[in-house]
Amino acid sequence: MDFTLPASAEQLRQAADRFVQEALLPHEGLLPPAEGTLPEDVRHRVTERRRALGLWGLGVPPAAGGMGLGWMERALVQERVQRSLLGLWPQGLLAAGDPPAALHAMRGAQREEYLQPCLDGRRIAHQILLPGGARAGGAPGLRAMPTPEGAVLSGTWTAVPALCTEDVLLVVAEMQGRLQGFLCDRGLPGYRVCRRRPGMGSVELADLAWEDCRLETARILPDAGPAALLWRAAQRVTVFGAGALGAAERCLEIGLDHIRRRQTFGRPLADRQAIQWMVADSARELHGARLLLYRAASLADRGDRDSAQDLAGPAMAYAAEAACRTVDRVLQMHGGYGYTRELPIERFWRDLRFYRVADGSNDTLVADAAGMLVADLSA
Amino acid sequence: MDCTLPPDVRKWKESMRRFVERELVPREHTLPPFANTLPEEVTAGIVAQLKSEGLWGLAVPREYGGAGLGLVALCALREALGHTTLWSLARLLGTEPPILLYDCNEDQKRRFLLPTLQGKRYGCFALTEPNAGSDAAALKMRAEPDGKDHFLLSGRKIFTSHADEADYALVFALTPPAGGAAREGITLFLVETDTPGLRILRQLDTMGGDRPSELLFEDCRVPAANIVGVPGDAFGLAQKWFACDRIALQPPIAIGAAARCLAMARAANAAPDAQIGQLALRVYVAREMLYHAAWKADQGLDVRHEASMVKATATTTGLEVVDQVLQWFGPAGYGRDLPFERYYRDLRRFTIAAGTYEIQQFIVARALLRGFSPLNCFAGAEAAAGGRQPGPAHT
Ligand SMILES: Cc1cc2nc3c(=O)[nH]c(=O)nc-3n(C[C@H](O)[C@H](O)[C@H](O)COP(=O)(O)OP(=O)(O)OC[C@H]3O[C@@H](n4cnc5c(N)ncnc54)[C@H](O)[C@@H]3O)c2cc1C
Repeated sequence: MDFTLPASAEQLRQAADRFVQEALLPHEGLLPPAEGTLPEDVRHRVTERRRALGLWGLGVPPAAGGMGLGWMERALVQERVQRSLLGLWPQGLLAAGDPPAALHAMRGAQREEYLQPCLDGRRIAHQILLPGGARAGGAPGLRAMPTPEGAVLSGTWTAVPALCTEDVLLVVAEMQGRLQGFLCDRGLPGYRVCRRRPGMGSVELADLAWEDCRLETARILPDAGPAALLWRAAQRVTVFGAGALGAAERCLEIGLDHIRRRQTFGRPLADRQAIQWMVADSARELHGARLLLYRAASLADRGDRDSAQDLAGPAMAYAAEAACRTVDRVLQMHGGYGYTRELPIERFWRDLRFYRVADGSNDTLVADAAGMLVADLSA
Repeated sequence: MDCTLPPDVRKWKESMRRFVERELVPREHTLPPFANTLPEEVTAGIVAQLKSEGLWGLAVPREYGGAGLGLVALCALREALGHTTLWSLARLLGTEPPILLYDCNEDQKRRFLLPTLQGKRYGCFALTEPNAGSDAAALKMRAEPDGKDHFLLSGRKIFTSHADEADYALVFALTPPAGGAAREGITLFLVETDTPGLRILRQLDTMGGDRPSELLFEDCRVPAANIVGVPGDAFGLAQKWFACDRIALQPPIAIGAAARCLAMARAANAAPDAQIGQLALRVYVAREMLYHAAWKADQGLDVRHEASMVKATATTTGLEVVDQVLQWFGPAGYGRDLPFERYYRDLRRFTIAAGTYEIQQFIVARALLRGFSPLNCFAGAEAAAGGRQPGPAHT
């Protein structure tokens, strides 16, 4: 047992803080106030700045030119970066240079076509994992069938974050009893975004349709399953879990600053117990969330991938909920001002709300983990 | 970073779990509903067995004949113990001397600490007074010098647990010159319970098994040799005790109890996994907080804020889980055949005794308002946070 942070923690924190200071905070004002994200040219500038600062390819092995960070280290970076509204996942500003792990093993022509451009920042890849079988409500979902040339995909999938569909989308789905990866990019015949649905914040959702969509073998990763599952778990812990935690911590700091200064009935809000309890509840929940995330991350870094994967879903769920509750309390501390778009809090509130449904809804993740949690507690 | 229990601690915890299942759970129905004692010879038999299985004194430092496994181990053993309603039997683990005794001088260690560790003597902790509970520094018990070598104690203590069975009491009293800051002038005395002038006025019947006492001190003459530490300076000692106590005393029991109730609920299909999972996740989080704080304390680091976070989280979560599982089982859950009602009644005191929930909340909020972040309290992040200030004057 040892709760010491990795030796690289301080250096990573500084690099992330510098990126936030120099590249994110100055551009926060350019975020469209209601919904949507930054203009393309600004996104490009931010990405170049990040690359120049060396925060590039966080999860990519050094052999492929990345930083090869462990989960713990990636969590520490996300905690800091998502203190800015622009660091939140829905802005997509950290995806460049960090393709999903199932792509890391690509060789030859596949590597030239997909991996290398992603590593260079010319292309961006995202991953979605689709459960097999029909969806709730009887929607057909996606079907993948093998053909002599490769595979044919048909069906639909609803409410995928639109930013994932901008370039390369690695669709991981079951074919012939095992999880395989299918590379779908813009322009692939038979694959299209059939509907766009704006969300309550920065996230726009897209419905995808595959109509007799034929993929040659170069677009198929038959062994993608394990890497895809591990990548998803890592994203849950680092991007959504630790990211939500960092965002909520920033909001709590804004709240503390406010309640020390704002006076009502001749005394600062900070003197009021109703307000103090919002602080205490938030502190306890965020502390607990952090410990749970660090447990999952350190399990993975120490090689216990199964346990890490099991814990990733519930850890993300707990962190996202704790973060949303915290931001909501901070909004309340600010009264009417908290509700306005003049402060960043309501935007954090709207954007973080997505984290609770982002990658499997929280309720499902926690329900699925019930057996594991109860067994672990009984040990 | 490694958040998992050390292998030897895990091994002892498993042994303790087996012991609980084999020796304690079958005896649960013999525990009187409103007491936490079994017949003397039964308890002695359990202790003897714990000793023979090496489960006694594991957390006691090596120099006092223990295994020196520290607070992490104590928490692990107590978490395992929480899987039975017999957890509240006193003196089971041989690790219960108030840790203040480790601050004794050599003579006092010989008279109080060592016999306590050996299970031959037993102490109780008398801080709370009728008009000084949460605000313990407002205590009124006085200790006047009587000659060169003695003090006369007069006043009242209340809610002193196990005073009826104890051989000695740790008593906090004001020593003149009074005045000055509230916390100054508070001195800790070791008082033999058979000292003339000390008597138990009454025992307070409670909704659980604990029956704390009200103590009356009338010119109770105590040797100056029984003062622990520096006279007038005992509040710091008390705070140190609170921190460890808030970590190791109630939270592991609450977590073990909650875990057992949830396991029973799931085995009986008493609720959907979505609901069981939500509660289990919160218990899981509380457990992470517990071991993190215990580990930090074992490293000699300041854990006052963590202790309050652990206590507030684990006790409320445990209580909520027990209450919910009782509810899921319906009328059967309310009855004595199942352990829930007993847990519920006993755990209810956790948010009151040894510092109320409200006071823990206050301590945590104040830490943040003063600019310390108990949030980023990881070794490695500590230096950046810039140290800590003394904690609060609250029980
Ligand atoms: C079963 C049991 C065993 C105990 N064992 C011992 C023992 O062995 N030794 C010992 O010394 N003591 C013991 N205690 C006493 C216990 O520590 C006190 O009861 C506790 O500290 C609260 O003090 P009080 O009862 O005087 O309540 P009060 O301090 O009067 O508090 C009453 C209520 O007001 C709340 N409150 C107080 N101050 C504030 C504030 N600033 N802000 C918000 N709310 C506040 C409290 O949280 C509580 O809810 C025991 C108590 C119980 C119930």
